[in-house]
Amino acid sequence: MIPHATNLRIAVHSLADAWRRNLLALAGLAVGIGAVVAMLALTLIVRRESLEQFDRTGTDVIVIRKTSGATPAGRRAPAIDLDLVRRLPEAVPALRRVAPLMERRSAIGFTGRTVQAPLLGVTEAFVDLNGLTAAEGRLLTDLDRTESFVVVGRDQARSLRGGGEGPLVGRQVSVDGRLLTIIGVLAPAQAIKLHQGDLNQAVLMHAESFARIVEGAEIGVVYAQHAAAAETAQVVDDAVAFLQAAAEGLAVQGVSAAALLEEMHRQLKLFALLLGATGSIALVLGGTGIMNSLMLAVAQRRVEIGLRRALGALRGDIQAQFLFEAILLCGAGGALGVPLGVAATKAIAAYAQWDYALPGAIPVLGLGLAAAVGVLAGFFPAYQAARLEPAAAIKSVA
Amino acid sequence: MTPVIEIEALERTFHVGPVAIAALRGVSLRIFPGETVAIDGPSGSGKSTLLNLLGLLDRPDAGTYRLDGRDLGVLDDDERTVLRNQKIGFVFQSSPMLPRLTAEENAAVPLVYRGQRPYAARRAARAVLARLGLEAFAKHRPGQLSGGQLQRVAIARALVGSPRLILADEPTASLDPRTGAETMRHVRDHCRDTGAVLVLISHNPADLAAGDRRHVLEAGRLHAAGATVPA
Ligand SMILES: Nc1ncnc2c1ncn2[C@@H]1O[C@H](COP(=O)(O)OP(=O)(O)OP(=O)(O)O)[C@@H](O)[C@H]1O
Ligand SMILES: [Mg+2]
Repeated sequence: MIPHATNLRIAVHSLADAWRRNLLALAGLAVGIGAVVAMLALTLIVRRESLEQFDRTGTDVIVIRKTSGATPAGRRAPAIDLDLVRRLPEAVPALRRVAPLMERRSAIGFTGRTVQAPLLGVTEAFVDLNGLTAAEGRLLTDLDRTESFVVVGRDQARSLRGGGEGPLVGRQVSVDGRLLTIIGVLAPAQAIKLHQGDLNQAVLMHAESFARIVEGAEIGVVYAQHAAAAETAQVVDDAVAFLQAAAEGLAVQGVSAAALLEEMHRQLKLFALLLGATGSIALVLGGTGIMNSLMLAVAQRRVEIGLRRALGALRGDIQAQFLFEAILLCGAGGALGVPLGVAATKAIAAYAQWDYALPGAIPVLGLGLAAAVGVLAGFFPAYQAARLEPAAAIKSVA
Repeated sequence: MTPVIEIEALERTFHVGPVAIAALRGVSLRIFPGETVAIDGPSGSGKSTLLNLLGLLDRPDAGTYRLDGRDLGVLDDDERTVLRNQKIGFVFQSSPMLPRLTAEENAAVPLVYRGQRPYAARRAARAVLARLGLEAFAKHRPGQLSGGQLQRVAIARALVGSPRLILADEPTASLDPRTGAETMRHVRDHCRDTGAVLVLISHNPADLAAGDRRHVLEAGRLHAAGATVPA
């Protein structure tokens, strides 16, 4: 056998000679690889998101949001108030933790500076539901309902410190002219999937204190966890019905994590089907194109093959040479297709509002798939080339 | 002394559809070290077919072939290829070349397949090209060479590995008489120096005269030159 480096060089030269013909096959293959890469990446993204959801809170979480309800003439707009939230578990027995959330973007003063931050009014249930832990000081509990205490998210703590190092716990911030005492700093936190917003940026205080000091405070969202055995859709319906019946004119909307995941999976199925179909068609077309191109190359290079055989090339050398060509060609298709697939994944993830992340294995897999197509597409032409009778092949020139 | 080549009753028949063409009908020949054998014969008489069999590019339908005393009938394709690469140099009727490679790279191919480093192989090829008067064309590609120059590159390629056996199919057909004679002198010098056997197919009287022996192929049968053809 001659060194593979030599076969590789021969392959590169031969490919360059027929680049026009090869380009088309390459494009088909690139689209195919791209589609498959996107399909795999999206599948993994959705799987990761669902696993995360299961890991941290389970899928037994629901969210109820206030939608702009009709305001009865001359009266104050109906609201979800804390009292209503307190009564929710009685009305819907399947509910375990009920975590109301008030939110207001506020100017927070600290040592003469002012930063903008989302100020959240929460209860202990919210802390539990999100699995929050304290990096410094302590967390909020329901015993703090009458106190003017705040807990600061990790990133917000950093910006309050303004690059300084000193302890924050025990110091005071001002919100709307009132002084509040920092009792803790959160460890890096990731909220449940249903929560929109970054807890690391937030300043948290107890919902009751929030209601006291923030003018027009109102509960916009209620998170709740339900018993594992309960029928999620029923729980959502019951909770919505209770709230809407309890406050005249109130309109709320409920979603469950399970439903959200279901929707994600439904969307994924659609994308996967689309990409899978495109991908397999393009792969087959690309692969066939490459096979075709190589068969043509074998036919055109009969003399060269015969000559090489006469001068000492083993059948294996000839076979390796054409297989190298196929793999190189497909590798190039893969190298074009992987970025294509990554771009498609990004676009689709953005469209579906999924967190984009690309596992490093996916590009490798894409290239591997390309190489596999190369071996498949190249095998027959390479075999044919290797079986040529040298005497007859050389004569085909004359 | 063991003959380099010993063939016995070689037969080769080609089948084209229902037609069977008996290209060789029992050819026997022994060639001893250092000998030059010239073969002449009309077109289609089987000269190239015989050369292909001698060069292990084709297999006979019947008969035996011993190269340096070794029966080649039992060898598989890879063994035949290795033997071909190590022991046989070819000059074909046309001068096929690898179009992307330069003259010296083309001439170096047998050495590369022998496992030599490309650089060393090219240097060896350059030396042979220089002896054939092609120094100036070593870096030219086949497309940039004349027919005669190509034929000399082909001869350099046949000589470069110092083979035991050189098979030349009308090597001077595309050369002018003077260059032809000079080129043949190089080939014969090479054979004399290395003890290689030269089997030469030619219609050129000058080439034929230079052979130690002359044979004529006629309709697939080999005769010593001058012998009467049996009716
Ligand atoms: N691969 C083949 N398939 C079928 N027939 C063949 C093949 N090769 C040679 N022949 C036939 O065998 C016979 C001998 O051919 P060969 O090429 O040996 O002749 P040649 O003596 O070399 O002729 P020339 O002087 O024209 O080169 C011819 O009749 C030819 O048609
Ligand atoms: Mg011939």
